[in-house]
Amino acid sequence: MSEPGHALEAGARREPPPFVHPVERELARLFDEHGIAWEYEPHTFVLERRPDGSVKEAFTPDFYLPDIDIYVECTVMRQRLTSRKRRKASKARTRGIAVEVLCRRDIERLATRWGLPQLAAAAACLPSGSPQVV
Amino acid sequence: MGDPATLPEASEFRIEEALAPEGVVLLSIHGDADLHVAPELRERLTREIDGGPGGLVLDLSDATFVDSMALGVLLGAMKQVRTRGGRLRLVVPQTELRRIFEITLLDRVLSLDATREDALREIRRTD
Repeated sequence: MSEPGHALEAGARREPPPFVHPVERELARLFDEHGIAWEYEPHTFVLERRPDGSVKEAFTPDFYLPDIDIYVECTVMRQRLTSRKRRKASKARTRGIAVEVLCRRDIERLATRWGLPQLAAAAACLPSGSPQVV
Repeated sequence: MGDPATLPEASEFRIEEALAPEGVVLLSIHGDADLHVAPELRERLTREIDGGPGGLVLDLSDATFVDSMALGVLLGAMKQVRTRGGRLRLVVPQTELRRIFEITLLDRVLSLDATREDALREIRRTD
């Protein structure tokens, strides 16, 4: 995770961050290709705390587009996890944070519409270390 | 306006005001809208929004490139317009530019139209 608020210019990054999912790498590549500045998981938002002050629920969107001031959360996981992420994003929005969620269907639609086979292939991948669904 | 599938030839950035119905300001953006011209774009849009039109239409038909700084300016303008109870629509006919809006998910936040006529019709419909 990079330092919060540390803006990087598109293309200025020396080493790619350790993306959790190949689709994130593809999105980063697309942002670079279109001159869109991005940061990977730069901020974590506390959504809920326990009575003792410890964090009960937090949200770390995948990308922050600093020039546009929008967070992008992409999820190609199972529906249950997608719903959880959507709920978190919606909770973050109530705090005035602009978050857009890209789910598998959105990513597939983007890939089909713009002829991006690498993005489509990445969307079909499971993240490294994730359990196989039988 | 040429083939919407391709971007027009690169030209110097400029903003031209075009004839529009009463209560609507129509600005046509030409050339590369990038970080170098983002302050000029922001200043012009702020001035127009401060003038208090009910609707603002930005025609990007002759824009050759839009980077994230310019996208940020457009988003900022949209927020300003909404705060004042107005409306903003963008004319984005070229598929290359539309792709940028869709990849950044700004097509969910900003109102995009394929033609100037569509934008003017939509902005009046929401009067």
